[in-house]
Amino acid sequence: MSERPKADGRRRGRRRRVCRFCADKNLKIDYKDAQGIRYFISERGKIVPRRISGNCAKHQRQICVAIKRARNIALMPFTASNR
Amino acid sequence: MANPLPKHRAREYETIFILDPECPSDVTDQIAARLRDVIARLEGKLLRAENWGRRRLAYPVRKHNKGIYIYLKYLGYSDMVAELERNLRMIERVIKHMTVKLEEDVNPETKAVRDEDISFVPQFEEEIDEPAPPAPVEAAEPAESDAPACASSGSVELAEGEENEDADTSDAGDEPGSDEEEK
Ligand SMILES: [Zn+2]
Repeated sequence: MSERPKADGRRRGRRRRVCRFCADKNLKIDYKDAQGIRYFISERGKIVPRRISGNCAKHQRQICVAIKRARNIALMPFTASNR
Repeated sequence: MANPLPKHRAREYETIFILDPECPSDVTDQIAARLRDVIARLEGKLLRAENWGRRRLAYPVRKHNKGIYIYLKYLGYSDMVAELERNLRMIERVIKHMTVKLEEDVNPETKAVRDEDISFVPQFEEEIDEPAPPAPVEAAEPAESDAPACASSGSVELAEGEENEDADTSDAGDEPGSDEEEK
């Protein structure tokens, strides 16, 4: 149920109203699935804030943990600089 | 009746460790055997083992740009992680490792293991053209602070390997034993 946000001047690339993990219970958050969580880091490797990603607080927390774990075991970069 | 009875409640963990990319398969097998011994000796139970093959690392680790990822899932008691990680630290070929607790209070009998769950054969091998070019000696920049993106707090335990040049990973989490399979 993603109601597209109005193109209201300050539209920013990705924007959605509904947390995708709440919307789809089958989506799992797993730090081992680097492809799945790559979506939630910026080009520079930073964690995308939930005001942009649209995640609810609960799932954003889980995403954060997953990203940090993935970074720790070199499945994901800490920064974009190295590559 | 001298069964070494299962103390009933175990914890479930998973450990990922990375071997240096030139580690030959027979050495990988030796390492696997050693870790299985540790788990068996401490009355744990190996539930799953996977070899993810040689992968590109997201950042250089000990000058390596690639590494062989091994994944283990197992049950153990309170002494398990310390002992397993002690072994991992002693193995020269292991360049990084991380352990995560998945579940707090597991009855070992509810966890069935099939033979095919445990394999140290590489699942997929990234074709590796050049034998890992020498990494330039500019170390990875320390992580920028992305603190405000999430408020971390919680209880999921992250026991991490000691040799993290850039370990910013604080433990943080969701409710205990929430995610990951239950079954
Ligand atoms: Zn949500």
